[in-house]
Amino acid sequence: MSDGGRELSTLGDKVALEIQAMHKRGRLGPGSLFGVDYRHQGAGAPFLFDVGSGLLHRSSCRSLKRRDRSLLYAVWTAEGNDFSLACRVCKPEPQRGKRMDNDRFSDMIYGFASLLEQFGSVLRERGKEYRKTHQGRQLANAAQQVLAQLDQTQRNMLDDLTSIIDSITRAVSSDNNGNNDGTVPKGNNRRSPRKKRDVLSDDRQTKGRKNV
Amino acid sequence: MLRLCTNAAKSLGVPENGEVVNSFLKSMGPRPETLRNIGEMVNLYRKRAHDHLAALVSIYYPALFLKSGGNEYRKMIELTTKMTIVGRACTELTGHVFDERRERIANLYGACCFLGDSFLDDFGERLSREYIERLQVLLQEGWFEIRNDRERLFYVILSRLFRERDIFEIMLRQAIYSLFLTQKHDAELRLDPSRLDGLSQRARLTFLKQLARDRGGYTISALTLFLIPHLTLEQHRALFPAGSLLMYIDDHGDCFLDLHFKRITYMNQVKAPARVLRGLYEQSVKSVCNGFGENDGRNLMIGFLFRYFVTRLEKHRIEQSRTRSRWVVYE
Repeated sequence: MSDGGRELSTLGDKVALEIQAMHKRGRLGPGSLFGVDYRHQGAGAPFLFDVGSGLLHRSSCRSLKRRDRSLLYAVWTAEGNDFSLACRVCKPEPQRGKRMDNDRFSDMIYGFASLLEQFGSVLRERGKEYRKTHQGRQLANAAQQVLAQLDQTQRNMLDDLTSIIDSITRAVSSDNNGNNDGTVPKGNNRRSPRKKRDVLSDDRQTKGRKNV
Repeated sequence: MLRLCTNAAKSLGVPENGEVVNSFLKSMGPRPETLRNIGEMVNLYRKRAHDHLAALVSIYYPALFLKSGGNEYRKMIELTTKMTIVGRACTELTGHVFDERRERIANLYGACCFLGDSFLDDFGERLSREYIERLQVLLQEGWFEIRNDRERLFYVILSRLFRERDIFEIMLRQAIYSLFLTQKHDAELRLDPSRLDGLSQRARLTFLKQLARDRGGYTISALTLFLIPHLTLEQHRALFPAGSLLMYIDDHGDCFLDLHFKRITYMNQVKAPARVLRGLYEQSVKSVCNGFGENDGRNLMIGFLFRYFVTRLEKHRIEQSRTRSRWVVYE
């Protein structure tokens, strides 16, 4: 890893640790930062994939009652080839109109990210809403304290860090548009102009994307 | 390697005859040149894992270098090296390039698994239960109260790993959470083995087999989904048994250590474990071969599974002859 990359990672560590420390001090309110547990949202998925048998089922398939549920993945968008794995009992078919649940946990990340004022338009719009809340205002104060502790080099590095969060935004934005394959729908991958400076060239922005 | 193969053949009841052993080797699938390359790869990735992780350990938890006479750090590097090679195989199996960033992700994943497992295994019953609850809060709400340097290192590694890929990606987050749930079940069983009371021997074995299957399967699923952006359902199904096999092999290698600590696993309860393991090995290799076309990743995966299989048969054999379990670092 380059020196810049190492500094960026260390700065990311600092931010991550500081967020936990502030939460411990009760500065971030009772909300969630993020959640990986997908069981609640997954319950609404149209399909379930049994990774053990390799069969794709409708979520209502009666044969699943006898199956080991620890092996089931919720699937929202099955592709053409996936239907070659279709269960013979329930015969799943492509469906339209089923959307993934939006992630209620990500609001805080949006809010925190928006406070750093370096993010894309989608992020900024959602962040604005969050900032108006009581929890958002608390977070704003806490974030200002984090920023105040950074020197100029670290602030510059923060620009790079934002590209990481930006890519999460693009992916979540993609999810909101009904894709779960990590691709970005046209029109949602435009980065807003930077206020201070562009740390990354266009070329690096492309290489730096997570979903490659 | 030849000695290991000969010993493995012996453990599996293959007669000690050069030609028979060669034929056994051929039937197990790996290419001799792949096995040679893996030997070099292990040395290379071990060194690079050390370069990467030593920097983190120095900052956040330098005492780890000295724990158990340095064995604990070495064990973390060995697990990381294993995850890196498996990660490379998974990446190349799916047609992607295993570049520097992916190597870094595999390193972080290996270190994260090592530290996460240690929280559940090494600090006593009370702390183990607490860790399960705290890890659940971390995965459900994102909060983790850091109480010591070891936890600080774990959290930093986890946060770096989470920054490398979109953890809200549906399949990845399901793999991560399923891995946590299966580890939770495993830890709860260790804390309270009476959960198996009342089950028939067959039901116990089925339960234990499924537990190991899921732990290993979700470990490889999550690793792969951190490394590449998308895995088809068919690829998912084909890879899962390879991860399960790694867990069965691990448990066979740790058989006597686990028994010493009264940990029940499928591999220390089943009769004729070496032969059972060979059957599982063959099923996993078949699954990989059916799911993926021939490429470097497939050769590497099969070669590594074979190497891991024979080295753990050897570990089992050596540990069997010890009077009591000792904590030894194996490659």
